[in-house]
Amino acid sequence: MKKVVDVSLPIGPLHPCFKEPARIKCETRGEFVLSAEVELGYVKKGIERIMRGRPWQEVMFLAERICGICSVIHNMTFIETVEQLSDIAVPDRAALLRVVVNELDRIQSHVLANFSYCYTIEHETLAMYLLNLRETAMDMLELITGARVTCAYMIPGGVRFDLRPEDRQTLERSLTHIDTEIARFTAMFKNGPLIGLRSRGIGILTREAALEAHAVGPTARASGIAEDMRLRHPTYRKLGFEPVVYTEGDNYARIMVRFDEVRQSIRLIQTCLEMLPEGLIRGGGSVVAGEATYVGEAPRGELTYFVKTDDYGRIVDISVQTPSIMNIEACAHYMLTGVTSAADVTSTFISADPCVACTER
Amino acid sequence: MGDFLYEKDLRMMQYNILTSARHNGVAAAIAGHYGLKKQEVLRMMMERMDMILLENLPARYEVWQATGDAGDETERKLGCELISRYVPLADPQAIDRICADAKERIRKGTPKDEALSEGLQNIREMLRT
Amino acid sequence: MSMIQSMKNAVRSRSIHVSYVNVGSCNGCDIEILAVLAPRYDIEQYGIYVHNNPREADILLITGAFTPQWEDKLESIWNKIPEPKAAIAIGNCPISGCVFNRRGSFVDPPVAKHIPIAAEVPGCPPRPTEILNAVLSLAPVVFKDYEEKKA
Repeated sequence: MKKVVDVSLPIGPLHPCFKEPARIKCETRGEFVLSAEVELGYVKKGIERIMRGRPWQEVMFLAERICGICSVIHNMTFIETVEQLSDIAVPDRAALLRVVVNELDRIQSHVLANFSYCYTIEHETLAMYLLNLRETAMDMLELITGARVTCAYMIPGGVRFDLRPEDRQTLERSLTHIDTEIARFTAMFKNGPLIGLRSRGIGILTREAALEAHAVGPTARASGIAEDMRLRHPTYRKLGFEPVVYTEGDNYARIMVRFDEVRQSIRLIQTCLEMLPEGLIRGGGSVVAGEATYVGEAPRGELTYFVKTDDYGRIVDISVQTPSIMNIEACAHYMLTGVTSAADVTSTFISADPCVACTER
Repeated sequence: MGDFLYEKDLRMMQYNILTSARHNGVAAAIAGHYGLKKQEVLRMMMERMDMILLENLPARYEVWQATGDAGDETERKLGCELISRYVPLADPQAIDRICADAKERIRKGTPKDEALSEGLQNIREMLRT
Repeated sequence: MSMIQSMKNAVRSRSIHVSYVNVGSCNGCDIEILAVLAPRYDIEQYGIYVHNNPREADILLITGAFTPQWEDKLESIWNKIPEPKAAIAIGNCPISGCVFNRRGSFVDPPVAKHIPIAAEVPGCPPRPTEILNAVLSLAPVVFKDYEEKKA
């Protein structure tokens, strides 16, 4: 990939727009980006190596700390993998409560991603509105699980805490609040002429490129690939779930997919609350030897866990494939090629919602 | 060439990425496919790819297994799209030439196995240079 | 106290520029730092500005358990910050390595081995209010009468 070009433009590792360290090396002609490379290793902790040989009770907390933004889905996918390989059943109430917490996490993650994008294109007003709205979702997470970021809410066979009736009312009120606010912000984003100029037609990821790089999640759905792992999840199927798909494949579409998914998540939680039966929140069961591959839908896309356990419930082998790996790759090698201005490099990168901590683990 | 201000030897970090179970599987599969040593494949990957591409290799390999080289049996056996697009170790044009060459020979009456093994041999030589 | 010093104290108490660097965290602490920007906590009412540019920063917030890539880079970032300056370790990772400090991992905590740390906020992750409180209580200690203390 070494080429002789006009300018090699390094961005990062520390950059005002990036929440996390990553270094993008752009080969440019003037400001026109010819190709880009991403250099990593800034947050490589080797979590999979630490996980091996430890009991699942420890690995559960390590899995959650692969990514702080989408910690709930890492917890959920790991636990569901373990449940699958040892045939542990989950009570109905617990399965629905999992969806409630997972969708709350998706709301806060998507709102954070859109905050980052608005902040990067210097639309600070909308960014701050969104960040304030995110606090409402964080409050609800804290109300149900007891923690803001690392909740460890799900355990094999169920969830830790029940939803109390008074909390349920607060949750319903907050969801209505988020719903009205997000509708307003979506309209702001949709109708803002300057936002449109900075977002439409920039950083285009074609359907073919998305398929080649195996892009997932909102990034793929903005390029017209109707792929969502929630379609395969038994609980979500009961809720009647349909993925949000845009076909433009530019920055604007990616942000709009996230806005629409936030509203969809609110609907899903409301449906869950309506369907919520009385009953146990924890079943029984013990982790046995076996191996399983399980795919869940993280806010950023499909998250694959391969877990192999022994008779004592220790993790013999584990490998995690996080969605950001595919999305950052698609971003670096397809979206950034042909970006006409260096200012759009950061906004395009952020629009793919990169999570470097996930990528490197 | 002078030292760059921020450039650093990244080989150890690239190697760390490739040590995971999934990456190991991909490297072994490619090495098996083309009759190379796994260590050679790892070295080529580290030299020719950037770090995010290295991370993404297992996903790309899976996509190739599912949909890549779908049309043609010769291409599938040679892994043309695998080595030029999905795991881009080689120049696409050169691979296309080798592939077209192999197809041409099969059409002219060379036994299939012979033409394919020669095509693989050519790709192997090209990867090594 | 000289007049210049008292003027400097007054200015510095309402103008603290913060930069944050992630040296290998899981993002949990980073998003809690971002949450401090939200109008709910409103960090700017205390005169604290998050710019994420080391060259104009006064306080460096460090999250994460120190990965090998940062060995030379963190120090160079620290050297770019003009005096007076202070570094705050946010979360358990820069203090002890938290769950990542196990055999087989790549991390090399604590961060205090590499650059001087003035304050530590433990937690996995700490709440936004705790981060805010740490910055607010450290700032007068470091910046008040800085020139007189130095002389």
